[in-house]
Amino acid sequence: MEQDFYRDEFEQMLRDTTEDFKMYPSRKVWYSIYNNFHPDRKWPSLAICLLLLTAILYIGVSNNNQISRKARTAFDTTTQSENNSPTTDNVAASDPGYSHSRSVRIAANNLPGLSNQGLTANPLIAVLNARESSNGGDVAFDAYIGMPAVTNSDIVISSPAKRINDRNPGNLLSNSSAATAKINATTITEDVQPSVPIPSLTETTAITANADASRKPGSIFNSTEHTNLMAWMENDAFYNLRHPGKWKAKLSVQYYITPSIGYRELYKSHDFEPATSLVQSTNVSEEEVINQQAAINLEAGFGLVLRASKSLRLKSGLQFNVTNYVTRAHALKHPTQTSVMLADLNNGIAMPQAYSSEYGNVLGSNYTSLNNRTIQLSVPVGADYKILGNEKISWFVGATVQPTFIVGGDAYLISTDLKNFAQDNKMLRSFNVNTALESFISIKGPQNLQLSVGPQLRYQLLSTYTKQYSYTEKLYNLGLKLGITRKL
Amino acid sequence: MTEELMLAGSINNNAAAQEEFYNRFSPRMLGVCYRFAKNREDAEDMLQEGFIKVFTQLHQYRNEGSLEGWIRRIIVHTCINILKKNKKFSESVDLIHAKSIHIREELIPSIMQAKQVVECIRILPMGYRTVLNLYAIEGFSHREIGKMLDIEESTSRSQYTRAKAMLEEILVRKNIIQKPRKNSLGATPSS
Repeated sequence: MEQDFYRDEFEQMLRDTTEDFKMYPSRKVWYSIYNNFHPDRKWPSLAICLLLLTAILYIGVSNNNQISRKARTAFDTTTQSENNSPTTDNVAASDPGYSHSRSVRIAANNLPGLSNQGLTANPLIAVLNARESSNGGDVAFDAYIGMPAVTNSDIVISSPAKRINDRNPGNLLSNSSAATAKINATTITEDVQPSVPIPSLTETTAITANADASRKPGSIFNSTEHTNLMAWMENDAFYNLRHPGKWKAKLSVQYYITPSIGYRELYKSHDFEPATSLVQSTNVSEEEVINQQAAINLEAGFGLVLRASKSLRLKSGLQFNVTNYVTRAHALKHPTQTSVMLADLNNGIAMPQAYSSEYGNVLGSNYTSLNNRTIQLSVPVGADYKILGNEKISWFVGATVQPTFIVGGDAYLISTDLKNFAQDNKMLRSFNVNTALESFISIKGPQNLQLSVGPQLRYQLLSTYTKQYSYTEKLYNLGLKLGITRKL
Repeated sequence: MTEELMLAGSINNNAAAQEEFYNRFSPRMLGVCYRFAKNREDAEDMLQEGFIKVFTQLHQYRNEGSLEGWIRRIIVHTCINILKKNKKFSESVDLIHAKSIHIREELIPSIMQAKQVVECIRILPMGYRTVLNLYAIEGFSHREIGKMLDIEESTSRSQYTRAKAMLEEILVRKNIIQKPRKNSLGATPSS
């Protein structure tokens, strides 16, 4: 059938075209097959890998950068003995990052093993500097080698100068009586372009290409050169050494909590202008009539402290406050209609607004406690000043201004006739400003922590209520602040 | 290395002989796997498993037919077993009921014809592709295909018919083959 012919042709075409189709697999396929049939061959490879890893680890550990005090002492001894020898000169140089340093200046052609360091022919000057860290736990040895050029009696290492950093003192100085410095210059860490010239040498013969190998290093120095060399070392160390972040070193993070007793100050608002005909003259003050008590308040927060100077610290952060005071009232059996003077914000005229009250301002033994609570979030910004003290214990005074957001709370308004309380939380301001004054003792604790404890007074600058309400209320609390400060 | 030496060495687990054996036959076998697999990585996995079986069963080879044909059958069975194990085939069987299947022709590279044809085959749904590979290229009967894939012989036939029609359409669109002209009787004339 014709269709069969075509069908066979189609299939034949498929077979013919795919017959020669080849793809070349990756080698990992063969390796997998090989390992499947020759598993025993894996073990020598694994053993060699383990051996190599062990060797690398051993070499790394035995040649680590930690310099023990003993090693440093050996170095000191060596340099000291070299100090006594007239053939070697040691210069003490200060270094911002290290407590003290010694430097030795030697003719570079006394240094073996330098030919393969990529320097041009006859490097002539080497400056060797040993630096110890301020905590005494680390010693660094730097050798500066380069081609010097004489310019106006100054000697400048021409570009690029090689800086060789080797932390093993044994590799840098030998204990040989000849006091010839040996540098194992196998570790070149960076190329340094010194930006300041090396102090001048008075004896120019020291920089000749064919300096006598027996010439003792250091005999070319005089005191002026020593001073200049020291200054150069300091300058170079300052600009070339890596310093920790300027700001990070001064920053600390502080966590604190302040339980306190909170109260309020209540008085008629001065900005309030009630309609004259509605004024009820009374000789009784609100403070005398309203029965209220202090209550527990709480403050908790965290922030950053920046050490601006030895005595001054700037601080800011985020803080959470719960303020409260208690008003005693009498729970009414039935809600009572009352009125509260509220101002019309458009014209400033106060008019009585009707409210339904469930609490009467009646003094008696059977009372209900109304919690006038606010929940606040604030961003304190302020400073602490150290009055006296040392590193371990200090006395500070501090102050903050705290823009505050009131996120919730309960407000009980006194009625116009002072006989009832009406609850209206909408009368609470959503934004306020608080200030805090504090005085605390700061004690240095373990693990670089600072513990602080001391009293704090917090005062609210703006009224708790909006301008609609006829009364102004200012909250304040007095508490004990406990804090922990930790360096970043 | 002659084929006999290579065969004998591979049976004796000689690594060099096995490597020679593998290098000689792996390119074509990977091409076979590639037609069945979803991607190159899967194809290499099939190849690896297939050659492990080849070396394991090499002592059973009786010189009946070509060695390459014998290896190819093992490789094809390995591919099918992997597809069944990974359920890649059974999921696509439902596609035979699909009314329309969108073919992404932009996936087909414009290179030599063999690879073009293979890529066109790989575009087909897995079920269609497998049956087409087994019947049209590997030469299995529908009965054998039914046993291998655990389907009915009639299902194999219907899947092959649909697969072939789809492949024809793809190859015509890509100008790899010319569209067959039908005569007045509705039959397609031979070329």
